[in-house]
Amino acid sequence: MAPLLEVDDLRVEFGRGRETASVLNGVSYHVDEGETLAVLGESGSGKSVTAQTVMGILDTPPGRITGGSVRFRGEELLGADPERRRLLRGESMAMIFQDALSALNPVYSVGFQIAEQFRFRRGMSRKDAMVKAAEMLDLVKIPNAKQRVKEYPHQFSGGMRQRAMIAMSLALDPELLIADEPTTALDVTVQAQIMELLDELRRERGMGLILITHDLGVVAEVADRIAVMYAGRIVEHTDAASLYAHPAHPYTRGLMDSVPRVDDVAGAPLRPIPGLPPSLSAIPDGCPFHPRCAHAVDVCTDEVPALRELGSGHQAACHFAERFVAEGPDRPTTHEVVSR
Amino acid sequence: MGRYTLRRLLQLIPVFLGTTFIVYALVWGLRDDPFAGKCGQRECSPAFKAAITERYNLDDPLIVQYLKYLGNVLTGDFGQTFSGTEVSTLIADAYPITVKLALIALVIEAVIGIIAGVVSGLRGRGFVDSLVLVSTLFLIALPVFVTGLVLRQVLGVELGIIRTSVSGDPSIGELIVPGFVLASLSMAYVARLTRTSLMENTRADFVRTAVAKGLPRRRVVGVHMLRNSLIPVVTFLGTDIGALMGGAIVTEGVFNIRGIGGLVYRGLQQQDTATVVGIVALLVIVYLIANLVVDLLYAVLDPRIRYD
Repeated sequence: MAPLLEVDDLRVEFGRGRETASVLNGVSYHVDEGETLAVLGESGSGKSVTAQTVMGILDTPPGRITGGSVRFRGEELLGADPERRRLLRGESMAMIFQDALSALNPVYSVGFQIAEQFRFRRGMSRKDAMVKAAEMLDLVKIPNAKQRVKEYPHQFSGGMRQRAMIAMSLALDPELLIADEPTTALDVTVQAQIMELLDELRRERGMGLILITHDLGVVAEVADRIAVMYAGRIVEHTDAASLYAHPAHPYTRGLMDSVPRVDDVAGAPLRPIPGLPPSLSAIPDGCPFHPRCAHAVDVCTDEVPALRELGSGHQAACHFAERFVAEGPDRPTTHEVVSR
Repeated sequence: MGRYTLRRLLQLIPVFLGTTFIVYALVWGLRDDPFAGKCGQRECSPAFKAAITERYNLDDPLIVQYLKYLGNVLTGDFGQTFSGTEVSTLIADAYPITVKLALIALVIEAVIGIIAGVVSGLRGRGFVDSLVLVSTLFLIALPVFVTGLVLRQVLGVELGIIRTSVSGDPSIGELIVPGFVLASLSMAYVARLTRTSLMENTRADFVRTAVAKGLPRRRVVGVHMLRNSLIPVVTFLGTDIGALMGGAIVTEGVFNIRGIGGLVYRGLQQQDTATVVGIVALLVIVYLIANLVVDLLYAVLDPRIRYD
């Protein structure tokens, strides 16, 4: 059976001529029903652009899809009729955004914005749709849903707004939910609640979930598989357990190492990955990560490492992936420390 | 909201007093001889002088004159011109015409301006957008009396479509071209404001959310984009009502409309305080109330704004 969502060799550019930025350089991943795929990477690595392309809400221009394919239940979406794609949105795939305050329309009540989908996609009356909207708020555990449905986004707290956003995305009972950094704008305690809620809803409904984040801690708890992105490519892809146990790409290792830990000696320096992500209009030759990689040798500057299979579904795009897998992580990861 | 409205209404009082006093002082109190030029080439007769001095309390200090005038206005007596006509009669004749003209202009600028702005804002770069940008620039650059005189000449004299001077009690049809002239400048601003505001909102996160929800395009634009984009436009339109009424002076001159423009103009030339102050006071009130309505409307359009 075809996976729920299959992204294959997706390529997206922004701008034209000399200014052209290659934002996605052949991204492939898939999500099955009821599964959580975490997409991990720094800002500008192409996580959100991939998601927007899947949803069909990428701004074109400036964006331009130059190649690849996106299939939902085997149906090709790129180049499909825009009306068909619109009908898929909300119904089959939905998305929640990072900053719920700006993602919600400030001049309409939260209930109105949820009810809209029932009115315009289900043909419900205004009144019935409002009742359904209140039920959705109740579903995401917003207290006093019946009263709060009439309130405006600015009257909600940050966590409540993100809950409302989740309620809105689930209104038409989608099979795939894309959560684009859903907890980044929230404080830590609220983050955990929102992640828990998302995970619970995914289990109840058997949805596929794509969780876009740059936060390793968030991923550890809920992800089945993790795809690590760098400069518009997937550089490592495996199930969560083996990523933490045997990170194969120096970038992944760097990400893990850069998380400060409770058992760090006080005053010990942070361990960031040196340098900055490359400019997407001038991605270095060879491995895009080599200017920041402590292990880089000649072959890294000459040859682009392909994403290759290391065994048991673990994929990485590094010339020396096997060596790193064998070594294990530089230090016990947060994940292990926590689960000990 | 109620308390806010009340407070705003109370604020009208000092503003009203201040503006009327300034106007009063400017036209009446600050000149040397109130009788200069009043009686043709000759010196006015002492009897006439005495009568006028008596009627307008000319011997009192400025502030006392003003207060006496104000007392009369509050009882509905706007006084008389030097020639003896009741100012209230003049205003009652002229005001409705100007109000009609201003409202026609407001409708024209709102409808054409918003449509042009929305169309160019949605289409983005292209022929329509360039057309709107260039034509609005043209309107902004042209002084209103030039637009007016050209249209009068072309449509009235050459083509004979309109009459070059409108009747004493003009119909809506007669006022459409003058209304267009009066509206032209603001119309250009409205078009540009709508365009910019819409373009800003096109890329807004909440518009993307609306698209991601799978709403029909018409719904995304008409509900999510437009309402947010029109908030600044409504503010502009509201405050423009006052400007349109005051700005009617030029347009009224060009098309010989007997509105308050001509009245104020003649009043100023003759330094006829009662006429000028009476009309300006009414203009100020219209302006203040229009502003208040806009502020209240603002809260309706944008629920983030609450007055309490």
